[in-house]
Parts: sequence; C-alpha cells; structure tokens
Amino acid sequence: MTIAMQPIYTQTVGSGGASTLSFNNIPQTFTDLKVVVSARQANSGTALEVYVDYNLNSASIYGTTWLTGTGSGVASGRLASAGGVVQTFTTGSTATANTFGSFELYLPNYTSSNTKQSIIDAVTENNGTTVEMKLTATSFASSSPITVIRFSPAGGSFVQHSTFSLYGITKG
Amino acid sequence: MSMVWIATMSGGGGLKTFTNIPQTFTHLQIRMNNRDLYASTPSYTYMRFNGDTGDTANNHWLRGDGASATSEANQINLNYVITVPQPGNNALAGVRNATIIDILDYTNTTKNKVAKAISGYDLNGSGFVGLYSGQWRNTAAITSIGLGSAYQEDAATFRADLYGITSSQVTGA
Repeated sequence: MTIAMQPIYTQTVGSGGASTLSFNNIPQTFTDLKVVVSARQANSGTALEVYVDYNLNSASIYGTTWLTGTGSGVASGRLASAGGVVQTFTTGSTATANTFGSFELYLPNYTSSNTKQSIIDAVTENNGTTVEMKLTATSFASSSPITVIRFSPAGGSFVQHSTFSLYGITKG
Repeated sequence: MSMVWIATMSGGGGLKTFTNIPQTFTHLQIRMNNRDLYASTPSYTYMRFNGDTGDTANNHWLRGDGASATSEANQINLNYVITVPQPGNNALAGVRNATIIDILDYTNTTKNKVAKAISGYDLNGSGFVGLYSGQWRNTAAITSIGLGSAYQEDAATFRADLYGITSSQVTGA
C-alpha cells in the first residue's frame, strides 16, 4: 500500500532559538513536498517576514506574486528575478503572548528539471486588529531538484517551541 | 501513516462537538461541507475549543466576494475561534461550502491555539472565497472542538470530518 503523505523530518526550536532552519538531504522519492510550520520570531512586531530559499541558492532566480490582508486592508504585488524572497510571515514578539503564526508551503514536482512552483498560505494572529494573512506563489527558476529548503526569519531568530514539519506526498 | 481519520460529525441543529480527541497526533485537520437552514446568505459556521464560552478568542479574515477583496478583524475578545461563511437555505439549491481548517500543535501546552482555514462557495453569480484565522488564547491541549451555526445546520447536508496528522521523529538538520 502506498502511503500518500509521509512524514519526513520535524524540527522543534530549542531554548537558544534558531537564526535559520533548514531541511537538508531531502529524499528524492516523493512526488510533492509539504511543510507545515507553527512559529514565532524574537524581534518586535506583530507579524514578521520569513525568507524561503531552495538548495541554499540566493541568486536572483525567484519570482513571487502575493495577496495579503492586514486585518484592515488588502494588497497584492509581485517581484521578478529576485533573490532572497520573502514568502511568508510569522508572529513577532509584540503579538499576543504564546501565539505562533501558522503557514503551509506546498511544493509540487520538486524533483523536476523545470522551474519549480510553490504556494504558501499563512496566518498570524493577535488579539487586536493588526495581523498578516498572506497567499504567495513563488517560482524558482532552477533545473536542479530541490534537496534543501531553508527558512530565514527577518526578525532575528525563531523562538523556542517553533515547529517545522516536512512531508512527502506520493501520487498513484 | 501520517493523516488518519478520527471522526465524522453530521446532523442538524446548532453546535455539535468532537469530544475526547486523541492526544496522540501532532496536528489536526477538519474538512467541512455545509449549508444552513437559516434563510439568509451568507450564514456562518463557528468553531469553539474545549467548550470555552469565555471571551478568549479573536479572529481575522482575508476574502473576496467576486467584486472586491477585504481583510478584517472580526472582533476582538470573542467566544468562538473561527467563523467561515456558508450558504443559507435561500441560496442556490444543493450548494454547500468547502472548508479545510488546520490546527497545528494542538497538544502543545506552551502555545495558544491558532486555527487557519481556507473556505469558499460559489452560487453561480455570488459567493465567497477566503483565508481565515483565529486563535484561542489558552495554552491548554485541545480535547474537544465544537462546530455549528448560530442558527441551525442543515441535517441533510452538514458534514465535518476530523483528521489527526503525525510528524516525523527525524530532524533532517
């Protein structure tokens, strides 16, 4: 019996925090990948940006389109041929205490030699009007299969108890 | 096996509850397909954790209705964690909403519980699609989840399925 969604890796940030978090040596045996994250950052802010890159590649080969809501306004935008792309958000230290943002990254056909596409849906929460809710589609114009996914917080570090879970999804 | 069906909730009336949720998974996911008997569209499905009726929740949304997009803080200090729109009894016959709700780290006693949902329905001329969030300002593990309309869910159509999702013990660091 084929297992459709298989847990691959999970990382939980310890007491020292984490300046980046990477999944390395990702098995190339699945069809798609999915990462679910519950995280908070150390720096001040109700919602802080998270950079996502693949294969430790920060070259200007990323493009992104997004739709965002802040609890009071909406916006949509895009970046082309960019490196170090902000793809999502988590809560920061001035969000409600003990509240961690939640996002899911879906990366289909990650072993393909074509440009890879990913989508992320992300929410932060706060006992107040201001939050960040974001839908992001990102292209990675590399012919290399994805073997590393790296998350880098704009707010200094991910705090203790932040969790990152990687799953492999198999078709057929 | 990483995603396991736990229970299905069905039937009409108001709030219904998944009880005695196993504490052996890492995350929870709820999949719903609903319609309300109330003759007003949209109606709303509400969610509550551990039967808490205190003002311990807040929620937000980013959604479009086919004409415009909005993002709002529903209210602060609510007694329900998340609310998603659904067709009422006066809507196009047979149409229900489609909703997926994710609740990460539901047993973690250091975190307030945050829910994330994607939800939408289309009535061939109107509808809603959106990203919804809510938090329960309580670090207790979730042992029950209440779902339902403030009015009366359609017994013939209400369905909510609860799944448990496990995670790996390998870090890949």
